[in-house]
Amino acid sequence: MSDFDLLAIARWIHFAAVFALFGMPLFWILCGEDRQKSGLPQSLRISVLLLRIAVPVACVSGVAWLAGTLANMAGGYASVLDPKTLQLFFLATQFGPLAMLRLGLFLALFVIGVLPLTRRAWFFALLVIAAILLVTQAWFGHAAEGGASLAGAAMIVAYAVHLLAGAAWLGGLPVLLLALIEVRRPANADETQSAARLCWRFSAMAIVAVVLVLLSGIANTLFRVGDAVGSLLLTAYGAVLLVKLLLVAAMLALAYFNRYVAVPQLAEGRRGLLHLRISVGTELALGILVLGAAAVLGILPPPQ
Amino acid sequence: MRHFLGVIGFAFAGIVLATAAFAHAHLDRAVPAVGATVAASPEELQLTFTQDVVLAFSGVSLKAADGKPVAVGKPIAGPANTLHVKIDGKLAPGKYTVTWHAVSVDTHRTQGDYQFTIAP
Repeated sequence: MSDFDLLAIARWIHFAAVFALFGMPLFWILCGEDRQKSGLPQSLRISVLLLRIAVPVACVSGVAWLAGTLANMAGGYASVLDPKTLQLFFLATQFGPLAMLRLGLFLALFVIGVLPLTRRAWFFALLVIAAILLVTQAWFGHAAEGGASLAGAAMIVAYAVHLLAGAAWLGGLPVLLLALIEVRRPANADETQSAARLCWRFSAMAIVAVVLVLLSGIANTLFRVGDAVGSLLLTAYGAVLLVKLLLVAAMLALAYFNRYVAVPQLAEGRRGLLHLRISVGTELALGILVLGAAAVLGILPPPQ
Repeated sequence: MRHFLGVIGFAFAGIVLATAAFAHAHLDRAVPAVGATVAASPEELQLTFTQDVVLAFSGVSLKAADGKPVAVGKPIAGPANTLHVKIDGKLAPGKYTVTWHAVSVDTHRTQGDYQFTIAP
């Protein structure tokens, strides 16, 4: 397994963990039932468990990504422990201060992961830290190439919007799936309606997220590829980008099916729950593959 | 391409076309130029890249035709996409190999080499 592979895997795991840390709390805050109602206790319990796992995973994979980046820059793994190299990395580069910020955030994340906060405060804290982590990622990849200019700022913004919207969409799917599993073969109309309402609420947020993901994704690609569109498909970058786009297209098809076919069926009391579970589950699996493609894409050279 | 962007109605469109930036710093041009023959011994090497580079993690080394290294200074600060290194002393006529490594501002590392000849 090459250094490239190791770096890609660290990034993939990190993306997945931070997406969960942003999207799952967001789902509960925006789409969750009122505190007065019984809500979905099992889904909530499992969500909390998954988040408690995501915290250390995000921290370790995040540190691994930074270490891998430094090792790649300095030409060897030994450099990661060399004080002089570390000093240069943190104090003599554009991204050094942001690397320090990320390490600080990992520490904060770790602490918050075990603090006995109220659930809502805990969700909010995770969401905010995850959001900052996602935005700071922009300076460790292709979006940083613009420098201190209007175009450079636009690149960072496009990247940040892409990640936040993507995390809102993809990060919410695990909770949606949990909720659809918890609502068993509805015995009464109430449960069916409550499940349908939950899907509607998520869907409303997801539509905004999807539009933002697509627009910012187009912007990112134009920034990266620019005039080199002709040679795009001849490069590894182009091939991976194509794979990512196909996966997203498949996700959109499933999301369309959910919103316009499966959920209406469910609301009308007809069988739709199994279809929805399979569809959402598949959408989630595809989304995880999209993150893998993104993890590779960010360290491949775009076409010249 | 412009028409396509116009249809999307994208605010970034104009900025994007004006600044098609390339990630991963590749060598754009050099002084003495890649593969060039120069009459006098150059005082410094100048390498310009397609991307802004991180000075702290970029470097240039010089070797004579027989493989013996030639002393050069550390890269000096200048325009963000250029590395300047001073050459210590005068160089004898012959073929020289420049080996460089650069880290772009997006943290990616590239490396390469090229040659130039001194022939008075």
